[in-house]
Order: sequence, then C-alpha cells, then structure tokens
Amino acid sequence: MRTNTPHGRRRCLRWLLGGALATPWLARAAAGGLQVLRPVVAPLPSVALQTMTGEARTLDHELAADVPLVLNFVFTTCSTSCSLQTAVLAQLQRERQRQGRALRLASITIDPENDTPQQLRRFAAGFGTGPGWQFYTGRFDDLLRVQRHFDVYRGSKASHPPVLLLRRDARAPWVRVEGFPQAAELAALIDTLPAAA
Amino acid sequence: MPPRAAAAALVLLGASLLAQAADAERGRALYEGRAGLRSTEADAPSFGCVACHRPSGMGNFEGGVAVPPIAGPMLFRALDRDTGRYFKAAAGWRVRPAYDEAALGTLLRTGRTPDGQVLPGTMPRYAIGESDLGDLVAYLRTLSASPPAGLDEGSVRIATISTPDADPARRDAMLATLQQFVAQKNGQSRHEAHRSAQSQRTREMVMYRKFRVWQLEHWALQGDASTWAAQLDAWQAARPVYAIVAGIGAAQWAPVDAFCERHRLPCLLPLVEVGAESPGFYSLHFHAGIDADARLAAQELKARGLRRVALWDEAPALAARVREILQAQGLAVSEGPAEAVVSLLPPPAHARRLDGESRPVLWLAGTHGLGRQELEAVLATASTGWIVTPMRTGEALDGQLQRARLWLRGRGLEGVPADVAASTLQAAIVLGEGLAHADFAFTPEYILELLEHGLENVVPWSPYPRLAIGPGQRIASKGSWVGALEGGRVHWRWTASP
Repeated sequence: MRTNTPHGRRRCLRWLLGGALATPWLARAAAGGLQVLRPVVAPLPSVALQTMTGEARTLDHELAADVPLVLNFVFTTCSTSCSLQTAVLAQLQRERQRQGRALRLASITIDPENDTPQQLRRFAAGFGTGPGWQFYTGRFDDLLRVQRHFDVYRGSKASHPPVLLLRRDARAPWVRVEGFPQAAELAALIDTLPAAA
Repeated sequence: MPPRAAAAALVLLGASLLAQAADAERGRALYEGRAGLRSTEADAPSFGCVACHRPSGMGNFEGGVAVPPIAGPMLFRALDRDTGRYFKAAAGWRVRPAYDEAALGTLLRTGRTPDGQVLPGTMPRYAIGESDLGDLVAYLRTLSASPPAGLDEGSVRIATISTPDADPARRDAMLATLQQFVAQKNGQSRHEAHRSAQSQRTREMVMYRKFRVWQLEHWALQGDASTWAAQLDAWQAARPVYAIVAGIGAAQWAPVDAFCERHRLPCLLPLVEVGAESPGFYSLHFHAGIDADARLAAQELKARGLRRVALWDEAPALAARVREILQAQGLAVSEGPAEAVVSLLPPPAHARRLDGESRPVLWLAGTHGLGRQELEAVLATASTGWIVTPMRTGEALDGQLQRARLWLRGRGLEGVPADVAASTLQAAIVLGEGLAHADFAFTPEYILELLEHGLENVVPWSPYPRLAIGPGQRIASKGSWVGALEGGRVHWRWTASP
C-alpha cells in the first residue's frame, strides 16, 4: 500500500528538478525548502467518504476530475499548518476563479472523530472557500487507509506533514508538494503539471 | 522632601504611568485575535498569535512547523547554547540575543530577528503600531510568567475529588488505585532524584529536571452542590494543587469544572458521568457522558416508534437528569404503562431486573465496564432491547483490562474493580506524560497543549476505545457503542456522540 519509498522519492525529485530547474519559480521553490516529487501512487481504492454537506461518496470517484485537482489533508482544530495551507489554497482558488480557469480542490480530514460535516462546513466557511472545493470526512479506519495510500500518515494527527497532491486530470500522474508553497508558486506548478504518459 | 527623593519619586511616578499606558488586557485581545492585528499582505492569512503560539505562549510543533515560544520569560531573554537546545527543529534560533520591544516590533513588521535572520513566510508580518506593540509586550511579559500553583522544584500536589452522591465502592477503588500509583511513582522519583544529585552535570540534565515527588489529596465534597464551589476554593487556598486527577460523582459535576476553569487547573476526568456538556479549556473529560448517551438512546427508541418509556434506576438525581433529557428529545417518561424501558442500573442489578421483563429494555451502562461476564448475564435473561456504552465490551474489554488486573494483583488490590482502576490509572499516567514532556515550563496551559497533541499516543489502559483530543478539543472519546440484542448475541454499532 506504500506509495513511495524515500529512495524512490529522491529519485523522483532528481528527475523532476533535473528537467525543470530552468523554470525560475521551481528553482526558488527548491531554495525555499519546498520539495516537488513524483510519487508512485497505486490506483485509488473505493473508500467511503462523506462530504461536508453529508452526502456519501467514494474516494476514487471524487478524485477523478477531468480538470486540475489539488488534494490536501487537514483537521479543523489544527493550530498551525492546516490553516496556513488552507488559506493559501483559498487564495489560489480565488485567483483561478478570477482568471476563469477550472480547478478542483479536495480536503480530507485526518480527525474524523471530531470533524463532522458541520465542523468541516464551519472550517471551510472561515476561509471563504468557493464551489469546486469539497471537504470530506469518513470512518477513522477508512481515512487512515487513505492517508497511508498517499503516504501522509505519520503516527498522529499533530505529526502530519504539510503535503499537497496535485494532478492534471484523472489519468495523469500525481505530483507531491512538501512544504508551504505560496499561491503563485502553486498556480505556476499547476500550469506545468505532467499529462498522462 | 529632599530634592533627590523628589526626583526619585518623579521617576517612579513616570515609570508607573508608562506601565499603565501599556494595556496588558488589550495586549491579550491582540494576542488572541479578538482585536485587530492586520497582516501587511492584504491577501495573506491573518490570525491572532494564539493560533500558532497557543494560549501558553510556549509555541507548538505541528505538521512539520516548529513554532517557537514567545511567552515573556522565553522571549525577553537571550537564548544561549543551553537554553537554545530547545530549538533543535530550527537551528537558526538556537542562539540569539534577548528581544526587547523595538526588536519585537521589527520582527512583527519585517520578519527580521535581532540576530539578523529573516523568518520564513509561515510567520506572518503585521503592520503593528507602537501603541499596539506596547500592549502586546505588556501581555507577553505576563504570559506563563508566574509559577503554577501546587508545583515547586521538588514536588507536585494533585487532588482527586468525590461528590457526596458518588458510589462509595467505586470511589474507594479510585482512591486505592491513585494511592498505589503515587506511592509507586514516588518510589521511582526518589531513586531518580538521588541519582540526579550526583553531580552538577546530571542535576542539569533535562530528564532529571522533570522529576517531582507527587502528593495526593482527596477532596471529599459534602452537602448541597451549591456549596461545592466554596469548599473547593477553600481547599485550593489552603493547600493549592496543580491538577485534578480522576474524580467521581453522580448527577452533578459542573461546579468542579467551573472550579478547574477559575483556578486554571488541568482536570483529567475519566470516571465522571456528567459535566462535559460545557467543556472549557482546563477540564478534559474522557467521554461526553450520560447526557450524550441518553440523547443517543432517545434517537434509537424514536427510530423504532417507541415513545413512552419507563425508567429503572438506583440513583434518583441521575435518573432525574436522564428523564429531563429523554423528555427534551420527545419521549414520555412514564410511571405507568410504557412501551419500553430505559435502565440506569449497575450490571448485577440490571441483569436481575431483566428476568421476566417482556418489554424491550435500553440499558445506559455509563462508566460501568461490560465484560463477557456482564454481557452473558444479560443474554441469559433472553430479554430484548439495546445496550449503550461508551467503552469496549465483552472479550475486547476483558483483554484491555488485563494490564490493569495484573497491576492490581501486584499491589494486593485484587478486589478493586479493574474498569475503575484502569480509568484512574489512565488519568494519572496522562498527567505524568504531560509533566514529563513539559520539561521546564509547567504552566497548566502548556501541559494541556502538550496533551492535545500527545494524548492519542499515551499507552492505553482505560476501557475507552480511543482517546484523542486536539487544540480546543476536550472530550477524548467521541462516541458510544449501541448494541442490539438479537438471537442471543449483541450486534454492536459505533455511533458518534450526539
């Protein structure tokens, strides 16, 4: 179920940076502690999710967008990283909307015992998220499986790494961003997401 | 007045006027994000300092971000090689001069530290004016600056609380467990303290600086609940404690929770059936309690069209509380004919009462552990209905309690119910973990913040399935099992506390 190994990740980083360091933002990103990786992610399992409006969905179906998608993992009582990340994504979403360009965002809670649909709605509203951005909760064990699938589980919710997962469409490979990119850096990355091989 | 004395008085007066000019309360509002501190970037996130640096001001480590302490005692003194070791996550901060008001202003506006570094973008920049800065500094100087009650260099005093309506057998089990735990802990601590005193080097080692001899108090509340606040305040004034560990009651607990808030005491409450309805910062309830389970019971009964219920109970005050909740949920609680029964009885009395009962019975088991023996006693009656329990059940519970049973046996406490002992031990161990991780800043807020992150990784002893909180969360296990009695078996379903 592991999506990538440290060794594999380093190789991916070399691969991506080797080809793309000519892109000025990526060079800056690398200097600012960001890591942009090409993990190997197994096909998505059909894990049951619940949206913030209470509808039943499945992971594979929800992430199969035909437009660029950004996925992250949050918990609503998080005291640092989730709020920073969500605020940047909200900024990114506003910018893309202003440009009239499609973008899907999906945020999955890593604290489903506390993060009910109502709690997720409150959190999303606090950041002014718009249509095209869904928040999900589910059963604890199911969401643990999802975190492991994307290699973002680090033993407890406080230890979760700041990771964004992006892909151009449902057939394209995943790109993994570790660290805290700014909205403009993400926008540039989305424009250069690789297509399906 | 001689001229020199007059001049000194004027200087003092000036200093006190300056001190008054800075408003620590307003500084607190800025810190907590209740008053406007705007980020310099219009589009950037703008939070109060508290969001990341936390109520204690002791900082935070979450999601790979190291947020340094900014409480006055840390911020306004130089970090040398010794104190700097707490900042391993960001080597750049390990040695720096002390902040003063001007240096803090520069940092907030530009991100530049006194030693010329620029903090990453995770620390927002703020367009803060001189007056706001003065207020903020005045508050930071007070933050985590005074020593906590009940804790000194050598000892930490804790209390456990019982209310007059608590079940005496369970109260005594809790007390016996705590006394043994403290005796055992102090045995270890004395040993460690002895070793730590061998040399200057070991005295300064982090691991030895945390050890304290634990002193346990039992505060047995008497009389009407309206007098409990005064009793608790008087005990705290006479022999202040640092934390409340466990505690046992029946139908009322709110005055104790209010006491914990008033005196800023971490209160770790695994055995209390009520009180979690209005959680604050300082009380950590292991479960939402009988109120939530009664609401769950009402949902189950209504879903089956059962609206008129009878109540079985031994504790009138608790029964009155549950009756009120059931009625608020739209059920009629009847002394006469009823379609179903809601039972609040303890396990043996409940099983006895089931004999010959033809109506479906919903059992609110509360904090009574239901092992295989208790479940079999219910199934043997061939009754129908449901069980609502916040804890593991059957063999899963028996397995979970095995560690507590062995612990009890090793201390000659075989007669103590293992479910009470396990919950009590869990609370004491959780406090120990918090103190062990606090390292050098034992302010109550910091201990609770550490538990927000650490509770889910503490070795589980208690009968609850999973204990975890997070920032601002104060109920550790957030659901209950609803078991349906069908064909000589119980079919369990986990349900979030309503």
